[in-house]
Amino acid sequence: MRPRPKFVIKALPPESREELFTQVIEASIPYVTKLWEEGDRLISKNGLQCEQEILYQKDVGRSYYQCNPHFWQCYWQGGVNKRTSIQIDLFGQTFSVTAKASFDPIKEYSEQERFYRMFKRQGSGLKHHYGYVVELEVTEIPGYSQPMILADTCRDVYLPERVYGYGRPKDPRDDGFTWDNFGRNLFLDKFYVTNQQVNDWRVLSGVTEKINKDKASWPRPALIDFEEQKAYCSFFGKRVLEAKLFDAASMSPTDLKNPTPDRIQRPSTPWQRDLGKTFLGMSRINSDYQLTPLDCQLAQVKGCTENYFTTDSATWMGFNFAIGYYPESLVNFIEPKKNLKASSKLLPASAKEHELGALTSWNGKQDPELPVSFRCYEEVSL
Amino acid sequence: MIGFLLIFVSVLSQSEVPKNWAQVFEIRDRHEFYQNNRVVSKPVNSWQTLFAVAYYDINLNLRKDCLLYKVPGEEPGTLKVKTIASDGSCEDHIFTPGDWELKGIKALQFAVTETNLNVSITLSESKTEKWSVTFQKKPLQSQPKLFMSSAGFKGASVMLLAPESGPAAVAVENKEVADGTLCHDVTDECVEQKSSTCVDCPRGWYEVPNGCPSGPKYCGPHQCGHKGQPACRRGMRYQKARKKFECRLDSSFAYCSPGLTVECDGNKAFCR
Repeated sequence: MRPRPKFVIKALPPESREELFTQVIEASIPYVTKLWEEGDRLISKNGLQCEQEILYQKDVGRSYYQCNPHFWQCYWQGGVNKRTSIQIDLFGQTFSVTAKASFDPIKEYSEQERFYRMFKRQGSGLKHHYGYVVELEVTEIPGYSQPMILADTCRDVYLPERVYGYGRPKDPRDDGFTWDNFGRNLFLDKFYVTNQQVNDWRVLSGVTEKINKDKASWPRPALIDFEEQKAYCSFFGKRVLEAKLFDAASMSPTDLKNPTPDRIQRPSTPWQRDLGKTFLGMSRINSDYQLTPLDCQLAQVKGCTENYFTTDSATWMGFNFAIGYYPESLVNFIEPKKNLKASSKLLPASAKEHELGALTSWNGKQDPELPVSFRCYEEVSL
Repeated sequence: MIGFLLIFVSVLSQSEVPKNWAQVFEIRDRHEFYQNNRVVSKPVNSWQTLFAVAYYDINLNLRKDCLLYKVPGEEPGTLKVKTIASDGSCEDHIFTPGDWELKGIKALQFAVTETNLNVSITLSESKTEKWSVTFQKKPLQSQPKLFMSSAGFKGASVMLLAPESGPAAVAVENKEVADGTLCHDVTDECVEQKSSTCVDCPRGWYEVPNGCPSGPKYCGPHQCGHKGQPACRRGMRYQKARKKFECRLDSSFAYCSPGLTVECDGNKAFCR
């Protein structure tokens, strides 16, 4: 028997060019989102070819390039791939979607016309406090362009609703200070605030004399005084991270499915409840302990090679750098004088400060001997 | 029969939707009496606001296009579109010229769903115009999930803007909400008087804990626990006991910095 002929129902293109343009743009949105949020996947072994815009550094993890406007600029300048268009197949035709360099140069960075414009929301209405306006066009349908906002969906991460503990009481029978975040939408920065982010803040607020022009240092933590840390976070509707939120994000719950457990466990590290079984515990009892690359991925301590934007230390909810790395400024309403994460890359692996809940005091001023990082969190009330 | 179909198709031509409507994300000011897919036929000879469509322009100003309609009576109907600032009133523009007008309307009907708007206009010359608009994705209002970002929770990661900034005459005032403004009104009895607008606070907001699942909130920096400031919220379920919180009897749902005590103003907790 002869097979039945297949009938393929092809959608017809809309009659109007404007409608066709709209449909091509709509079809391109998932690809635009992917480029914005996961564009780092396109970086080849040769890195990036746009020294004027953003540097490719081996000690900087790929997460740095996600939702990064300088990477977006570099991509459309041709510094990532030779081909700089998004190909969309629609109605039997291939359309090339490209970004337009339709925005004024940011003089503090370069004289190059921009493929994006940073914005800080003025007035009410828009839910995003800040973001980036970009403009797309379709080569095959000239005369039209589509502006859009790209939101920073890579920056922070949700702290799930549950009962948490603050600090680690000396007596294990003591439940210590417990609290809960039911009914609260808390989002914590995954990484330290960088020099690049602080630069963008200074550009947006028109205070440009302190712009850091050393591109190699842009992915590194911004080392600014506490008053400026507060001003930075507040500018974006956020707050400097609190000590109890840091503990919540880094102390892995015993049972993720039970948000109200009878006892709140306070593990010593995010990846192992018993410190003695970790390289930190072993270093305490064995002064000859040799750090391995894996140790340094979990916690960057003295003797490790510096790395930025690594996600190897991610905790149970996606928070990074819980132990080691930089000393970190923390607001503490429970014990106000304990406002600094003590564990850092300044201390050897054997130091007793390398434990969750170990806090010390900071006077709020940067000191070359004690570089203090910070991050923000946002509580969203919709 | 085929000839009839061809004529029918040509009469029902798909018309161009007004500019900027590809960026619409919601309907506002909808006329409360006009139902979906019912011809707007009353009150004859009067101007009515059918609805407005809201969108952001390239300068991030929130605008709306009011659809004003003179219901046909002795004369055919007229539809006009007027672009105004989002906080303006469509009613104020009933008797002023529209930015765009369509005259000679015999009948008009529209339908609004969660995701779409359809307008069907029958013109005197037996022509029909059909506008179909799909709204941009609405912000997610559901519970956030593990690994979700705040931007993802607030809305889509990409949001389309209207390419043009609208008529020059449309003045948009960007008023910043002042610190100290009540942005989420919740009574001591835990009744939400008005839904939260705290996302509009330019420098964040703070809560005054009152033992409710969500307390009243004000725009401004969060400085809980200090002297004279609201107490810090500790939560409602960390004690694993279902208690009725009366600030004066049990203020354990809030805490202050060492050396200060929780003091109650009604059920609201402050630090002294």
